[in-house]
Amino acid sequence: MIATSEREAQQTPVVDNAILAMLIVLAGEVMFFTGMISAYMVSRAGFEVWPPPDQPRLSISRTALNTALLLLSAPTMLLAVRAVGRDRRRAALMWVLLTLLLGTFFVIMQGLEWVRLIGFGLTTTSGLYGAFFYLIVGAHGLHAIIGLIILFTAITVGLRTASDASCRRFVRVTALYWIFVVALWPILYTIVYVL
Amino acid sequence: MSTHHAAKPGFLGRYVFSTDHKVIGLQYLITGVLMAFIGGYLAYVFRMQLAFPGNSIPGFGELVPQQYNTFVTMHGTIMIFWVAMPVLLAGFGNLLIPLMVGTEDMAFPTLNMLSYWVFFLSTVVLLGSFFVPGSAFAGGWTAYPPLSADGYVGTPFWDGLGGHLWILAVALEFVAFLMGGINFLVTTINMRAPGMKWRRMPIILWMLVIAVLTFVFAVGPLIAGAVMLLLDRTLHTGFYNPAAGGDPILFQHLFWFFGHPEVYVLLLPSLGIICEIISVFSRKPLFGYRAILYSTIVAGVLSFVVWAHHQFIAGIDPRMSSFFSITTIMISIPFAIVIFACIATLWRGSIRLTTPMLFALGAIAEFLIGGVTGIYLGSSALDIYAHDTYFVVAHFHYTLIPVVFFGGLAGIYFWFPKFVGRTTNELLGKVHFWLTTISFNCAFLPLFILGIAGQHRRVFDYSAFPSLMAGELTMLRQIATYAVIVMLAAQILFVVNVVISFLRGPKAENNPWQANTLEWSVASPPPHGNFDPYPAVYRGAYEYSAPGRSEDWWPQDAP
Repeated sequence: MIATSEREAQQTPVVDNAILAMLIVLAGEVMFFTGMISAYMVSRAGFEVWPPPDQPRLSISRTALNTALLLLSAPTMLLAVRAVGRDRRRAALMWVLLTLLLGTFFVIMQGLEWVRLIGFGLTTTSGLYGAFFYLIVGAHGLHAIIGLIILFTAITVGLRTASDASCRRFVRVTALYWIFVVALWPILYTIVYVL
Repeated sequence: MSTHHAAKPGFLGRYVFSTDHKVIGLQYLITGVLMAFIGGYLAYVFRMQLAFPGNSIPGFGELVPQQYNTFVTMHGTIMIFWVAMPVLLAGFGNLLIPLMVGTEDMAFPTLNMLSYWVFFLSTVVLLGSFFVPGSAFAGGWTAYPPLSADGYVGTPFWDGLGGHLWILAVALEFVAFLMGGINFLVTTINMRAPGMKWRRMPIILWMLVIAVLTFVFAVGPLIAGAVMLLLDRTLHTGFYNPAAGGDPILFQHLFWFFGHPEVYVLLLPSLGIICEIISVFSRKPLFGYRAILYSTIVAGVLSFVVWAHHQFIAGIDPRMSSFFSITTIMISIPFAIVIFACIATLWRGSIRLTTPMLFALGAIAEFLIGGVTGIYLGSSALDIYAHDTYFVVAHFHYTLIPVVFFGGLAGIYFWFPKFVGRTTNELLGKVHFWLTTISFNCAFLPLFILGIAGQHRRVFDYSAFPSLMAGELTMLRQIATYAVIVMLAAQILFVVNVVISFLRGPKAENNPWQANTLEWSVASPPPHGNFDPYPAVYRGAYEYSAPGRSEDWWPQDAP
């Protein structure tokens, strides 16, 4: 039998609770995207020519620029983690803000791209090509928007909490999720746009 | 001393929007049991229709074909997702994990509360779907397109509302279980009491952890498939529509990639309950703790490569069916090991035939029939004949009813004194067990014979098939139906037992069964915050009849 304080001292887990929880969520997310990507690969294998000849083409180069901007937001997020680890909250705040701006830019550019594509006649009902494009890219976009909300919360709440430990935890969990959103994109870009 | 609970919450905070894992566990358990009665009532109605086609059904009235489809669909949906999952995984997981690892609550109590209320919302959505125009979903609990994706054949949106709500309810429920699952894993990994090493954990904790991991990795593709189904229904995308270049079989793959691991998500917690109970009431250490553990891990991994055995007649490549036949037959090996370990635990034990023990033994005996017939079906050659017959129906009821109801009831009778603080009536419990067992076998053994005779599933009325209306087959259908009625009636004994025991049963001691695991070291029911002071663990969970001790049990926290 042991007292509470002693107990807390003995309980320092290898991986923090919140980070572990986020890792479990991301494991599920990876499988969610795996499911969609496999469905896409299997379905397109049934077509002799892909993309189907009567469908509008996706713009590889425009989106490449957008991809580069999103990729830039990974190092900025990591710098925020480093800054908060050294208790430099102001610097951390700047880095998270920069990540948020890059992410927002990415989402807006994607939205404009969608408007253009719909104008060209690529819709969810114009064929499987469009359906899968909006499904997969849309699912990623939704995750990016959720990521932006988390980044925003990190700025308004996480970085203002009194305790350094919980502030650090908040930024780390945010980074974990955002890195997932960023790392996923080049894979989807390659599979949906390039291949 | 108890610094960890300063503010006393009011009634709402204590019993309704509670963050206490025990209250949440009971909420899940009670919701699941109530849903079981709805699922059972649906079964009663369509069994009556099958036995006495066209007759008015007492307590319901006349059943029309569309209602029959709705009832069969909702029976399956409710029993799997709204009974088995909340009772076995969420109910027992919430009740037991913090107590058994020796901590005060789950890692994220608020998330845990949210988990139940999202689940509750999903229950409301599902039951509400019975009352929308066109009634609840009728496309089978597996929701195969094209039947389930009727959006693209031009049905107006509102006609398919039941189907939309079905998908929404299932999605909400999975969100709830993911939130719960995160808690289960984090609590077990990070919050174990000092000395509670991985190898000392009660086997049920391992089973719950592996079940949750299986669920987390399996559910993603199903959610992807369900989103695509919903888009087909609402935006007419055509993922599963051959006319648009889509493929209905694709959904079957996504569904069963989740659906088969899901079977083990249900089976493992139940096997865990059975292992705990058998060890306690044999007064012997659990035989082959490591063998059980490794078998379970192997089964969890294998469960991801068996899914296409549900699709042997869907036109998959024969080479692929051989592969899935082999994996399917392989996965029976780890479960055979677990069952043998249970039987070996019984061997030369001082067996106490209490109600929970009876249900645990019944679960093993009955599950064997389900498991062995599963090996038959795993062979793709036989499955081509037996597919979609009542042989399959009998098979999976012989796996799921022992797992969900026998295992679940064993757990309820076993932990009732702990979580309610009162003792159930043993005589009523035993009568309940025997009535349930006998009627269960009378209800489902005939279905094997009917299935081999060629009786197909999902048929509203067999009058159109003269060969199936032969006297003896009709008689078998009627026997099965009468047995279902007895089986449902027997559950009234359970309700009576539980209600009377709750109100005026004898007060339970802390450790009425002389068991070792940590939950038995605290008061019955355990106080808010569970432990005061926190326990330390000195040994594994199964030190029964240790030589040189006067008592035949040795609690994990006794120095």
